[in-house]
Amino acid sequence: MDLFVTKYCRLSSKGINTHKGGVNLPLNDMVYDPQALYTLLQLSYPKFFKMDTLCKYGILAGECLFERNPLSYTSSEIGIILSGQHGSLDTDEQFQQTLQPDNFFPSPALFVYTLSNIVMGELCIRYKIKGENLFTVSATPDYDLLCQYTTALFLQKRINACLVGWIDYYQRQPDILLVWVETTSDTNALPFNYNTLTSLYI
Amino acid sequence: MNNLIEELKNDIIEQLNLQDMTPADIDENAPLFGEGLGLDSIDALELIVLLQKKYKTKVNNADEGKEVFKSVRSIAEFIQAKQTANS
Amino acid sequence: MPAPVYIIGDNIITPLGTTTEENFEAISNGVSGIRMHTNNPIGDFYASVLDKDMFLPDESLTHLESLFIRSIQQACQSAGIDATDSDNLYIFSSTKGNIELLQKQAKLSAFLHLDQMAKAVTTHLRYTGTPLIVSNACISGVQAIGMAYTLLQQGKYKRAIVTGGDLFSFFVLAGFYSLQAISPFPCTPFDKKRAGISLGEGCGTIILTREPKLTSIQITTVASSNDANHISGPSRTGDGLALAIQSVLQTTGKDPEDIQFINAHGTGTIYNDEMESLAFQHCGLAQTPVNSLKGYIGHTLGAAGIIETILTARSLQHNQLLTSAGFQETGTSVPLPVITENHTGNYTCALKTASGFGGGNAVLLLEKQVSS
Repeated sequence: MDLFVTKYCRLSSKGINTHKGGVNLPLNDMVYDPQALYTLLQLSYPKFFKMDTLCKYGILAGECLFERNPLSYTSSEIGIILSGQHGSLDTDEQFQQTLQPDNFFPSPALFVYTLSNIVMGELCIRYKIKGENLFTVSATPDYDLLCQYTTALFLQKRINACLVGWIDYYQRQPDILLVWVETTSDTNALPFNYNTLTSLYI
Repeated sequence: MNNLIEELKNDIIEQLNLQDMTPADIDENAPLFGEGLGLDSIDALELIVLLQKKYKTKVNNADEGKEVFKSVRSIAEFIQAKQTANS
Repeated sequence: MPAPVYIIGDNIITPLGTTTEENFEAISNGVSGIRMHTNNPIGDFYASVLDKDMFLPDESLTHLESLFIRSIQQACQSAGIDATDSDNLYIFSSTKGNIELLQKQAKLSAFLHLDQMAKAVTTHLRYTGTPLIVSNACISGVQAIGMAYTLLQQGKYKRAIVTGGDLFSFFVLAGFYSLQAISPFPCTPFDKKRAGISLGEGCGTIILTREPKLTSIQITTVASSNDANHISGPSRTGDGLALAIQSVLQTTGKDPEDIQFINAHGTGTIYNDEMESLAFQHCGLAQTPVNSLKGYIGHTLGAAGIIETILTARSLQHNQLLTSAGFQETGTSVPLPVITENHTGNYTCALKTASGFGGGNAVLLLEKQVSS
């Protein structure tokens, strides 16, 4: 089965790149400030401010990728397969801070972000993705596995489009690659395989 | 009372991460949940933590919570009543 | 339709026992592992917690890692396979892994990372491949089985060893406490007076292959979905879970009447159990007997989907339905026939469902082997 990457976004400490080219950041270290990126991209999504940093970066990458275009599929036929290393560890550490014996005020708003897959949930809400979903953890991106698993879901007719990628954030370092996978290609489409994902990740 | 209301507005913006709002955007008489500020159940729980941590006042149950969290003004009244009772 | 996969070995470790048989028997007899515990500053709470002697006395391993090792070894033994075999695909399921290391700042803190935790386990077992890890909140276990099902279709691996584990931690207890979701009594899923969850700890391992043994239970198909509605609140309509159930029914050509019972997620929170009742009704399953096993073993998070799937498979094998602990009176807007008495009969087809934070839902269809 031929699958294609028709859109993508790479967001890392080196900056932001998409299928449309590089996003021009007025300040070099702006990529470390999700709030500033929100303003730069002129987003209007008040929920953004309530999210933890991993989710903020997830939404920023999603916005760069989809550019506010509605997804032309039924919600239930869109899958989302994401992977990362640290999961919610950054927020776990913040929540742990609210559990001091002499200052015990566990924060419910932090706790609900202490799961690796919440960023996937936020992306599902934002882009109305209701189909097959999976969040896996690995030391480094396992693009072979992501391709294998995503392709299997297409072959088994469980999805018709899929948001696939690596999404990681820890100690101020965002490291994200999101790709949009479809069965139809346009002129700029790339084949969905290990080599494409590896070259986009650089 | 008015000072407390202003203070609460700032607290709510900070605690609930409403960075897109200023205290002037919050009407102290408007509903906090549903319409109005559009807060959800996690926000309500976070407000309970705020009241305990900063104002040392405890909301005892969900029914009391519903009354207390109607608006910024009702929260201020609740805090004031508790503080008066404790002094 | 993809081919079914078969369960050829399994193990469950909870306070109720260290084998699947011990756990099934205890639950059949209505024994619960949930006890009252006390912890400052939270006070009294109920949870199903393992005795310390359940863990291997190996200082190079965390408690959770030792639990995984013990469970995998026993499951491999029950299947008659070699844990080191390079034809094995390992899939781990955990929501919080070694999260208790956060407060200890111990020398093992590298094992906070799930990938290092899993690697420590497989290295100890002398398996040289790279284990896969699913961390998808409360649906992790069912998702890990689903992932194994999907990957086994490609024939690259001979079998999948799917293992799920989570420990009881102060971190998670304090979190659910902050959500006011810890039940003040042992959790009572689907009951009118239900008031939250009871946490549990444990580990479950299931071994899947496309080549059945004679008496294997098969996983006929799997599906997952997302509510796309709220990250921590269950859907108010149940449409996300209904989507996954309907996908399973459509793929297999089953009618709702073909499903003889459902092992639900059934956490015991007001909103989760209500959501499930709506989803079941939506799919024509409001008359199907249903149970939740969390009243016996608590909510074991990343282990839950695996432990509960194994017990559901055992129900099919033994032709015996397990009761839903803690249920007395209908407490959902759609009344469900919650199982309150041990039934025996000819049971061949069941659903396992799970729903969790992040809006995820996952469903498996289990059948007594359909001979081909």
